[in-house]
Amino acid sequence: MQVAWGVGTDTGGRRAVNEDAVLATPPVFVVADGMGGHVHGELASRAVVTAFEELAGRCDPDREVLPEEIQAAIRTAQRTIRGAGEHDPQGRPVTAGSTVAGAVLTVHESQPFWLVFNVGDSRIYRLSEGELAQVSVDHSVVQEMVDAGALGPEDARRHPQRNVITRAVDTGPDVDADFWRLRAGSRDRLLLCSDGLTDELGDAEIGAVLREVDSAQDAVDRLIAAAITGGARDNVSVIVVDTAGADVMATAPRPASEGDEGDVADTVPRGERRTGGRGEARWP
Amino acid sequence: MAMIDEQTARYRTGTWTAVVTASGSALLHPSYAEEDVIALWQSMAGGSGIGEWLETLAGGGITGLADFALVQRAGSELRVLVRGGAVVIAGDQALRAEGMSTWREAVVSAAPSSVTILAGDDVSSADEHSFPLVGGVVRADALTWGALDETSGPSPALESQAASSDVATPVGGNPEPATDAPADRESGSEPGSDPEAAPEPGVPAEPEESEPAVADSSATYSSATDSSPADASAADAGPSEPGPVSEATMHPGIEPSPELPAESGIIDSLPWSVRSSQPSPPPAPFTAPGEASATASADDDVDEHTIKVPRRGGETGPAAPPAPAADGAWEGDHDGSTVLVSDVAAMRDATVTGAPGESAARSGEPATSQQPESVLLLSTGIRVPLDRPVLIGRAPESSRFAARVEPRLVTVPSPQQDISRTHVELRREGDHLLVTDLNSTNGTIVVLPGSAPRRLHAGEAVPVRAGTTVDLGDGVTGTIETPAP
Repeated sequence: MQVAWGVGTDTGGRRAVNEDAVLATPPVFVVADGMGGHVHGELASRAVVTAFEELAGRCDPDREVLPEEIQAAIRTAQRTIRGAGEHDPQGRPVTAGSTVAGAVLTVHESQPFWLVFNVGDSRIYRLSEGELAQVSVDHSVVQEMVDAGALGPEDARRHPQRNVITRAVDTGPDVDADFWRLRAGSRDRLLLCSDGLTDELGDAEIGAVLREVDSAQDAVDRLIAAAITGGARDNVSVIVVDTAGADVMATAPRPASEGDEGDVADTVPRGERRTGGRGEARWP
Repeated sequence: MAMIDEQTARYRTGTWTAVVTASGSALLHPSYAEEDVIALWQSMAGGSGIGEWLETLAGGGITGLADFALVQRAGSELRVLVRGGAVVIAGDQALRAEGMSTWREAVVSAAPSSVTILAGDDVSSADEHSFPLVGGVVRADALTWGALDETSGPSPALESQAASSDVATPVGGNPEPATDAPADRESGSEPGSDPEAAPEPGVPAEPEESEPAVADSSATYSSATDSSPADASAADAGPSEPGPVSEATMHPGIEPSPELPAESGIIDSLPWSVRSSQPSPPPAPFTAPGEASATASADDDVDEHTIKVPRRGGETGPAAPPAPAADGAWEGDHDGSTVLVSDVAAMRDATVTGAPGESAARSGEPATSQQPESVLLLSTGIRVPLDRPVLIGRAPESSRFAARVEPRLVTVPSPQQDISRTHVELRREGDHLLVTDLNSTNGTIVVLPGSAPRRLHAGEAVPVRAGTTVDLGDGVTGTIETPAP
C-alpha cells in the first residue's frame, strides 16, 4: 500500500514556544501536545515522539503491530517523563505531560488496517468518501459533558474548560490509550492534529480543506495557515496521511525527489516557527 | 405556627428550589426535576447523611449535574457541599465552587451563628423580604437561618471573597456566570457605598488564605480561553503563588492539602465518597499518593493551553458491575446487564488510576471461570469463539477499545450489500451473552429458541442463549452454540 503524508507544526501566534511534537515515520504517525509549562511540556511531548520513533524502528511490514505495543510505547514515554525528575522552585516534583494521537498502518487479519489511538484531546479524523468524521474521542471534561448530553458539540468548542483533559501521558499513574481499528481504505485520508487546530477550525472548515486539497502537504499547510489566521492561540500541529493503491502519485503531485528527507523520519523539533515535511512510502 | 427563632429558616422567593428539613437544608438550581427534589426531600427528611443526599442528585452522573448547595447539621458541625454558582455563607466565611469541576466540600467545625445559602453571587442583596419556613420545599433563591441580624445581607466574607477572586473567570458548567463578580468587587472595594455590603470591621478575611487557590485555578482556565491579558496574569500568578491550591478542591478524590489553614475553622475538600454501600461516607482520603502528586501540577500549568485534571474512577459516572467498586466507583443505579456505551467509556476512565488488574474486569473481558466458552457458528462455515467481543459485518471496524480487549473482527460476504460494514456485535457481559445491532442499515433479526423472530432496535443489546439464531441478512446467519462441558 502506498502512503503519502504531509506534516507541519507551528508555534502559533500567541505562544513563545512550541510544545507540540510530531512524528511521521511510516508506518507510525503521531502528534503529541506537551503540557506542564515550557521545558516540561517539551520534554513530555518529546518523550512521546521518541518512544514511538523506537516503535517505528521495530516495525516490520509483515508483522502486525498490536495495541499492547502502543501501550508499551506510552509506558516508555511515561517512564522517561518520570525519570526526568523535574522539580519546581519549591522542590515539588513537576508534572509534565503530553497528549498523544497516533495512527499505525499495520496488517490485521491479513488486511491493511490503521490502528488508531489517543490519550488526551489531540484528535484523529478520517475523510472517507468525502465525509469527514472524528474518529477519536477526547479524554476531556468537555467531552464528558457532551457524552452526558449537557453540552452540544459546537458549544464544546467554546467552552472555557475545553482544554482540561482527563488523561495524559504524564508522571501520573500508567495511562491507558483508547484504540480504534480502521480499514486502510483505498482513498481514505487521515488527519492527526493537536487542539490548536480544532480550537480554531470547525469540522466543516477542516473537511473542506481536506476535500479540496489533493496534496497531503498542501492540505497541512492550508490547515495550519487557517488556524493561524483564526488566531492560533495554541501551538498547531497537523499530519495528513493518504493511503491509496497505485494512484497515490496522482494525489501527491510533489515528486519524492523534491525533498530528500521525504522518506525518512520527520520529527519536527519544537520552537521552529513553521516546519513541515512530506513523504511517500510503500507500506507494507 | 412555629415561633420564629434562630433555628427557623427564612427564605426569599426565587426560581431555585429550597428544601428545608430538621437535619439540614438545600438549594437547587431550577433545572432539577420535581422527582429529583422529592427524592432529595425524602432522603433529607429520612435522616440520611449528606453523601446520600448528594447521591439522589448525582446518581445520573456528574457532568450534567446542575448547581446545588447542601448543608447538613451534624452535631456542632456543618457539612457543606456546593456546586456551580451556589454560595454558602457560614458565619463570616463564604463557600463557593467556582472553578471546580465537581463540587466543593467543607466541614465547618463550629456551628456558625448564621448560615445563608444563595443561588449565586448576584443575589447578594438577600434582604428582609423573606419568609419563615420550619420545613418544606419552596421556590427560593436565598435561604438563611441563625441570628437574624447577621443574615439579612451578604456577609463581609462574601465580599472579601469576591474581591480576592477577581482574576476568576466563569468556569464551565456554571449556569450562574461569575460575570456578576465585578459588581461584588465594586461593593467590596468601596465599603459603605452599599449599606448591606459594608464589611464589619475586624472580621478576618480568612478565606483569602485558601481562596487564591480557586482564583488561581480559574486563571488557569482563563488562560485557556482567549484573552491574552488573562494569559499573562495567569502566567504571572502561577509560579509566585504556588499556594495550597484548588486542585485539592477541584475533585472529590483529592486529599486535603496539608497547607490549608487549620485555624480557619473550615476544613476544605474532604474527599467524599458517593456510594450507596456507604451511606455516611467517612471523610477518609482514598486518593493514591501518586495521584496527589499528579494533581500538584495543575496549578503549575498556569501558562498552558491544555491542562489535565486528575480523575478518580467513580467520578465519571456509574460503573457497571464488572468494574470493581473498591475504588469508590458508583454502583448505585445499574441493573447489572445493560451497559450503555457511555458507561463503557466511564468504566475505562474508571480504571485510569486503578490497579493494573482492574482492567481485566472491563467490558467484554471473558469470565475466566465457569462455563465453557460459547461459539458462533456462521452459515459461512466459520466458527467464531465468543471469548471476547466480536464485530461482524461486510467490512467491520472496531471503535474505542482498550488494549487488552480488542474485538475480533469477522468479515462476512454480502453480495447485495444488505449487511452493513460493522453490523452487529456479540459480547459477554457477566453471565450474559449480548447481541447488539450497531445501527445497521437493514437491521438484525434474532430468534431465541422457542420464540418468534425479533428485529433488534439499533443499539439495543439483547441477551441471548445457546440455540439462538442471529440473522444479518443476505443469507448470513449465525447460531450460538455452547459446547457440552
